[in-house]
Amino acid sequence: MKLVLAWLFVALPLAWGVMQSVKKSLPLFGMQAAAVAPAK
Amino acid sequence: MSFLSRDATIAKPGFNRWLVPPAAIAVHMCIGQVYGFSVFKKPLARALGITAPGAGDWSEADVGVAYSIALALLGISAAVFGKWVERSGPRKTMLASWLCFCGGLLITALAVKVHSIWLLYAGYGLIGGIGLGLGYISPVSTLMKWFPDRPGMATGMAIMGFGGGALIGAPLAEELMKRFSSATSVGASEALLVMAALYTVSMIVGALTVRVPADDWKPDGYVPKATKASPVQVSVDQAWKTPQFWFLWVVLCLNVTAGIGILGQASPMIQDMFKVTPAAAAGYVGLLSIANLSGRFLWSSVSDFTGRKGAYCLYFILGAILYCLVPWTQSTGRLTLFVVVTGAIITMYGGGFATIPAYLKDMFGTYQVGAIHGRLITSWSLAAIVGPQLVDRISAANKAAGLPPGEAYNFTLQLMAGLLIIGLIANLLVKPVHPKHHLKLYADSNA
Repeated sequence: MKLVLAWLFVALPLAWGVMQSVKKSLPLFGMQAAAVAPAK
Repeated sequence: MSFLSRDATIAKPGFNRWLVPPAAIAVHMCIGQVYGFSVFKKPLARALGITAPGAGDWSEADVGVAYSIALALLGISAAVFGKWVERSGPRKTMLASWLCFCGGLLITALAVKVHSIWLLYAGYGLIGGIGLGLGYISPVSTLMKWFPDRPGMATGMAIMGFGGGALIGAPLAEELMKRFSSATSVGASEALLVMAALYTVSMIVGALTVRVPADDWKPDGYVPKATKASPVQVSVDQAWKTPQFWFLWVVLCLNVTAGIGILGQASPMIQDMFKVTPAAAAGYVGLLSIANLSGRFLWSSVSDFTGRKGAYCLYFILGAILYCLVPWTQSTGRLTLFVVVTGAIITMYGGGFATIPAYLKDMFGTYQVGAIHGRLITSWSLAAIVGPQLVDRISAANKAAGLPPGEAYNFTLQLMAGLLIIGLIANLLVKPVHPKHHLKLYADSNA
C-alpha cells in the first residue's frame, strides 16, 4: 500500500504535466488543416 | 540532528528498495522547475506595466539572467558540495536542497513584489541554484547504491523526474499566474508562493521517505560482475585527475550542447522551416519535452544491456546522422518526419543526461560517485549557458547574411552533428581507470 501511494504521489503530477504538453501539441497534429500559417 | 544523519537513514532489513525511486523523483520533479522558468519571462518583463512593459520594467533578457545564474550555480554547488553530500547522506542533503530551492522561490516572490532585480538574481539564481545542485546529485547517487543490478534504469527514473519538472512547473505557473493576475499584478509573486508551498510538500515527503542501504546489502540473487577482485572504487580527488573523468566531461558537454541545438531554438526553427503557427510551434516544443522525458528513462535503461560506452556510441552516431537528415526534411517539406527525427534526437539528449551517473559508477565505483557526478555536471552548466548563445548567434548571423529563414539553421545543425562526432571520439577514448587511482583500503578511506 505504501509503495502504491508513493508511486501515485509522483506519477499523478507527472501525468498531469504530460497531459498538458499533449494538449498543447494538438495544434501541431491538426496543423495540415488549421495551424499552418499562410505561406508568405 | 541525528534524525538527519546518514546513519539514521540506513534501511532496516525488509525495506522495499522500490520506495526510493519515488522519493528521488519527488525531489527531482520540483527542482526540474528550472527548465520551465521561461514562462515567467514575459510576465516579469511587464510586472510594472501589467498589460505591456512599462517604464522601469525589466527586460526579458534581464529576467533570463536569473536562469543562467541558477544553472551555473547548479554545477558549481554540485561540484563544491559533492563530498559533503556523500558524507551527510540523502536526507540532510534533500532538506538542504529544499531550504535553498523553496527559500529561493520565496525570495523571488519578494523580489517581484519590491521589484528588485538583484534580489531576483540572489533568490532564484544564487540560493535557488545551490538548491538545484544539492537536490540533483544526492538522489542519483542513492539510487545507484540501491540498484547495483540496474544502475542505468534507476538513475534514469530520477533524472526523468527532473525532465518532468518542466512539464509540471511551466503549466502550473501559467495556471497560477492566470488565476492571480489582476489589474495591479501579473500574479507572478503569488504563483511563486503557491509553487514554493507545493514543492515543499513534495520535497519533504521525498526527504522523509529516502533511505540508504546498509553497507553489506545486496539485492536478492545479485552477483557483482567483478568476483575475483573487489569492485573498483576511486575517490573524487583521484577521479578528478584521471583522463576518464575529462573524457566523460567532454562527452556530457557535447551531448548537452548538441541537444540544445534543437531545444534552444525549437519554436522559431519549426516556424521558419515549415511556416507553422506559433500555437503549433508551442505544441512542437511540448512534444520535444515529452521526448526528453521519455528518453531519460528509456535510453538509460537500455544502457544496462548495451553497456554505457555502447549507449553513448549509439547516441553520438545516430544523433549525428539524424542531425544531417533535418535539413533534408525541410527541403522536401516532410513535417512529420522532421518532428520524428528531432524528437529522436532529443530522446538521446535526455538519455545522455540519465546515463552519465551509471557511466561514472562503472568507471569510479559508488564510493564517492555523487561527488564525482557533481564535478562532472559543471560541463552541463557550461553547455546550458554557452550552447543556446552559440546557436542563437549563428542562426541570427545566417539570417542577417540573407539566407532564407528555412535554411538559416542548416549550418547550426551540421555543426551539432560535428560536435557529436567529437563526442564519439571522446567516448571511444574512455578506458578503465588505471589501478594507481584505485582506493587501496576502501573502509579506511572514508574520512
